[in-house]
Amino acid sequence: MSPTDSPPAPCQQYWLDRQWIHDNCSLLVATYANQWIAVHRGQVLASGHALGAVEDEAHAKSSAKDIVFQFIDDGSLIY
Amino acid sequence: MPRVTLEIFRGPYKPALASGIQIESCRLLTDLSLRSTGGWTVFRPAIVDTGAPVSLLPRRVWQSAEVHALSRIQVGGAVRKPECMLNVTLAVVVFAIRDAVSQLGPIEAHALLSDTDDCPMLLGMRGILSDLILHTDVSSGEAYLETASLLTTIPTRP
Repeated sequence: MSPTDSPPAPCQQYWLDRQWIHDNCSLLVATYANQWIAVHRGQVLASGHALGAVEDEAHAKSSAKDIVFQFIDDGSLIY
Repeated sequence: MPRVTLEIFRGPYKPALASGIQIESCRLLTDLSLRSTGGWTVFRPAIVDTGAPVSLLPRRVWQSAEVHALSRIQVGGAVRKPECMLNVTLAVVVFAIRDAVSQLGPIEAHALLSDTDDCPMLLGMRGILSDLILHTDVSSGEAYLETASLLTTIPTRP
């Protein structure tokens, strides 16, 4: 692979926030079932059903480039 | 062999809680990026879904990616009512998936590009799970995707 054929790895904060979501999944499912959430430094910056709107709201609140945008699935969706 | 560890996301199965029954909901997640005209999109978590024949991408995820559109189609889930169907574009995109340590890709594969943002991101079978080796042992807390060889680029087949 050439250098351009490889996306840059997310920074450490991204993985810390992925772990925070993992550790708090019960609370997040209770509050944000079947919504997208934006998480940075252990805080939910935005939530909603449309990813684009959630990303726009989160970026308006934070200039961080490593915000995690994750869909919180409560198990009710059969894809 | 190159290997990406999958997150085992275990939470409450909310539909049963209303009946007073507590059981677990379990999903596998990985982080994916798409090749774009200027490089690559940021990584975002996606649900690994062996029940999805083709990956599904919300609009915000693919709109900055390099896509080769093939056709307009409609897809749906368990409810087949017209109002529950998703209008999507069948396309070819280039994926990379990774965990905190390792990465697989670029991987060229078909995907469904949703017209809207109100859907989850699913990593489906076509070109991804059908071509990589998926190993799951949830009871042992182990799940990963790996390539069958040292090659990490998998061409799209007709």
